Amino acid sequence: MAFISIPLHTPGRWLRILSLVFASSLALCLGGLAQAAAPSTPTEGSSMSTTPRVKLLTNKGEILIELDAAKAPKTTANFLTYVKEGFYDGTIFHRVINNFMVQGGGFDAGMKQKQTHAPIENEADNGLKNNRYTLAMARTADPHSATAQFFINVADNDFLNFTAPTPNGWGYAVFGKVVEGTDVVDAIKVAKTGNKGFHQDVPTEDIVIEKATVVE
Amino acid sequence: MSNDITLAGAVWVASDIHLGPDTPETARAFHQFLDQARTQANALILCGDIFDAWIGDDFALRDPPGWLACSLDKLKQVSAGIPLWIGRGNRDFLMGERLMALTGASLLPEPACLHTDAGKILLTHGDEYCTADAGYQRFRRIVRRPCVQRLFLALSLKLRRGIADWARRRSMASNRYKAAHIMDVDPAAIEQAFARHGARTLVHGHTHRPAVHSLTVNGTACTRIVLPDWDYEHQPARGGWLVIGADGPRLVQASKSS
Repeated sequence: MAFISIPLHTPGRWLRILSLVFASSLALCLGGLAQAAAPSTPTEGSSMSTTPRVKLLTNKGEILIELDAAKAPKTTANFLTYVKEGFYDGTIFHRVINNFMVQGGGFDAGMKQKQTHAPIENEADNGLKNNRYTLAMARTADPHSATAQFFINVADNDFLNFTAPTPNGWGYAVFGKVVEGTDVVDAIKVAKTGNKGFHQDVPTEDIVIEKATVVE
Repeated sequence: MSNDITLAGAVWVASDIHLGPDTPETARAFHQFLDQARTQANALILCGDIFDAWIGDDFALRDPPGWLACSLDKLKQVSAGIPLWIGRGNRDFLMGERLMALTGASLLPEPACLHTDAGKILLTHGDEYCTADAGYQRFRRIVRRPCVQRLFLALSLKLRRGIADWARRRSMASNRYKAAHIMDVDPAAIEQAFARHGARTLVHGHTHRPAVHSLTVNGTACTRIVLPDWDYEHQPARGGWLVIGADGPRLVQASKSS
């Protein structure tokens, strides 16, 4: 009788196992760029150099960035505000896609989004291109919604460039470039990633901006 | 079934759109792309992972959710104008003939051997080349068995939907890392594919590593083109497709579709 009972039970178990196999294959990827905006504190660049430099000290090494205050004055001033406030200290590169870009400056190591200042105007029509090792502002689908998050292009991403002052054509505002530490960027872009909560492409091992400082 | 397909004119190829209930922006971009393809291409091929999950064609036939119904309508519009081919990916491998009948599409053979104005092109989703991922290949062998698929599809739609919802909730609630890492293709598997099919151009998706690779197989210069994946839920967004015409294949990457 024991032999007869096995085939009777097996299909049920099989289905359960199969269902689990299928269920585990249905990993769903979700995400939304939640936007936090606080009352604005406009910043005037006080006797700002046209090429201010910012050093990002990460746990992967140092990245030296040169900003273009002549072509992207508002974006540069905005970025420097966050740098000087220490906003970026302790934030992570939370979206890392090799052959595309590495994005950071908005979340802390616990993937908690930080409160930012008001969004800024998109300066993507300044002629600067989203080429490899340039720095551009991240944003939501609204062209003029950039706050603190930025990304470093790790490929020539022509399709991110400004083409027209329309929601689809605005593109992403480039405001600087990496002048030292491209090897650090190269190390970040190949980081192993996975999904975390609502976010995709999150490095499994935190890549932290320990300190961002203006280089005088 | 013959794996050969002869296509004249501009052939557009896309994959890895990963549509689901939580991808409204990606769906919008994809629909714009379909409109564009309908008017500018002579044929459209979608080669796998169009949907992030597929629990059976009856899901699309019987009372599909809004996001799906909208995409199905768009696919029907395309097939009314130009030939539409749909291939299975590693996520939506349960797509079958009933979906094809519904959308007016033809099921893409695996691999497909395209005879185009740009010459012979081998096309496939690409997960079969990730041979270093032994665990995945084992899973693939199991779920690709017709008997296993029949068994799963024999479950009630309600139960299958329940399983999918449960997986989704679990995925959303979890704050742990999910192993979403997709291995890259194995060079040896690629060389074998080139050699076996005598093609000089191979096009695939799956790896989410869009690129055009030049390589030499048995002294012959070959090209491997990797299709981009789509993600318009996060900014900067990205997606894209391949245009195959008389002047050769050309990869179009786009953060916007218009």
